[in-house]
Amino acid sequence: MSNVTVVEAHDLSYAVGQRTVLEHITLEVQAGKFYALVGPNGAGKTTLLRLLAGELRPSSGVVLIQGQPVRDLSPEELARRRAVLSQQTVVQFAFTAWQVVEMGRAPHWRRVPPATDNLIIRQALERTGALSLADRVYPTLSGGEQELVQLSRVLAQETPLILLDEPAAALDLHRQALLIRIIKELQALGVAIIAVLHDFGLASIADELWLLHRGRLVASGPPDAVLIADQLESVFGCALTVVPVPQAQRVLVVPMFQSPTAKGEGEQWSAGQ
Amino acid sequence: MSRVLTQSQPAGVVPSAWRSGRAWGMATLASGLLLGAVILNVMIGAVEATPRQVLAVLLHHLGIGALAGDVPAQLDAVIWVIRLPRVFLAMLVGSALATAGALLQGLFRNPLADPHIIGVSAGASLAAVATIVFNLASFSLWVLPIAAFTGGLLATAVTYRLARVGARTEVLTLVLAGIAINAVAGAATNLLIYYASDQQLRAVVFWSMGSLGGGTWRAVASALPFIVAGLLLAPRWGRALDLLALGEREAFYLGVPIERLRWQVICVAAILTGASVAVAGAISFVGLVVPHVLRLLCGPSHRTLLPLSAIGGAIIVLLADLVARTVVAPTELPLGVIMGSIGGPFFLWLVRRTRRAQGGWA
Repeated sequence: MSNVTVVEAHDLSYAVGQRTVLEHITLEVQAGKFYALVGPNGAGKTTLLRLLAGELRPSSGVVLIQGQPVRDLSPEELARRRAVLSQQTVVQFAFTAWQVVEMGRAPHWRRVPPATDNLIIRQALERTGALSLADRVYPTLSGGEQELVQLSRVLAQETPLILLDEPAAALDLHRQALLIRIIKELQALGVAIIAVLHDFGLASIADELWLLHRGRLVASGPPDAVLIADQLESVFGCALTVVPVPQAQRVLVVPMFQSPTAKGEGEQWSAGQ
Repeated sequence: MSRVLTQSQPAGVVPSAWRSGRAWGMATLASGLLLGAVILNVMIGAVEATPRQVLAVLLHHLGIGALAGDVPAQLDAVIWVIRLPRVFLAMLVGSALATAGALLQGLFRNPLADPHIIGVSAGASLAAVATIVFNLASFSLWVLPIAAFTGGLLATAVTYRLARVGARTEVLTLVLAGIAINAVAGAATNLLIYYASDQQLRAVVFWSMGSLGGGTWRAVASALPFIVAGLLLAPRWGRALDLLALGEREAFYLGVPIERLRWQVICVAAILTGASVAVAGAISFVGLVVPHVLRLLCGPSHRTLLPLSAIGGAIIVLLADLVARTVVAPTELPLGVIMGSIGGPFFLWLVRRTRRAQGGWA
């Protein structure tokens, strides 16, 4: 894959009032690569995603998409360069799944003929296996089905950069496999993907992992450089083990089970009984 | 595979409401109904007129009277001075309120956002009553509409700020904010009434009940520019309001300049509501009922909903005014009474229906 830089973040910091959420983040995103953003709850993963999406303005530092500062781009220009899948999308009013995916074409409105739009919408729905839901009313769909429809909408937006916030959270195993296949297909098309992930199994298929801890980028690199037990233990604050699964070309990260009597706290707890 | 997609539609074609012709069909039907309602409203009253006479009067005043037959001078006066301006006013007010309702519902992402319920009408009424009581209305034709618009705008802005928690608009907070604004504006209006003279009192009562009894060409002229401007602007935001149904964040990700859209929509909704309150008082439920019925018939897209609401609102208010004028003739009921007695039960039905099917607002 050619080394085309899609996104750059230089010395990015973000603070709300006195509270610093992110500090000194510098990143570079290449076309056709898949980046996984991992770290404990509250590490600043979603905030970083929103900074890269141009939704939040950094307190200092700059984000460039395709070489242009995000703050100089209009919402519509941004929407033609990056698509975002949020964690959960509630749709008011009884739009059909097709209409929801059609909304993904909004930034390209009047730039392509309607027939092309329809073809792209149909392909997006086919790719996620959600075509059978096309004329169903969105609010009546299950959580997993809604997720697929939203993913189709993001695909229909046809952007060189896709940001996903926990895309696998509502998906069963079959659909997780589907998600991985879609990500691989997008990579082959040269699309850069950044995903916030809690599941290290999924994160370990990424080209590069970014480990965030208390608003700082504590490690970045390929999976075997980031998914190291000592490093993850210090970040997550619990004992864990890293299990390679060569058959699936993945790595599992499993927290160690501690029985209540194994440690000091546990003894106190049983003494109190 | 979807039944509809694979069998009855060619590959890759699911047309939008306008493209499918369904919305055009509805628009044609609604325009026909509107024309019928206009003719009925002009014909029916204390003095009955035939369609032929109505046409003759119209042609006469358009300067081509020679073509039409003679009409008694009294009937001519009834139609031209009393009924026609009232018909125009009914159409303007109905279109304005229904469109304002559709705009606000789209913006708040909530079908309960009727100008009356969220306090826009109350804010506009308060400002209108204040201009009467402080004798400001006599300065210019435009003082009343502009005051009502300002009052409506302030009320909308306050409700919007109160109802937004984070980036979401909560239904409960929205309704509670509306109750609070209605209460405060109502109290202030009552206070003004307390100090009003008898003559002012009559004008004020007119505002609180809602009536087209003040339907003169002068009133039409004072509301026309505001309402026509609002109606022409509203459909521009159809697509953006559709995207807003995904949430403000998603709409931004899809290229909608949220902050600008918000203020444009609030301003236009306040102009529409303010202008109609200035000429007809606070008429409830038009902005709630009309977009709702249309959503059931034509789907939720604001691209069809906004233009159709303008037509539908005009029809509803024309018919309601016809009932108001005729049911207890020779006196007439306030329009607000008619709309309230239709809208109240409808609102209850709506709440029940939504509770039954939690699939979202139709």
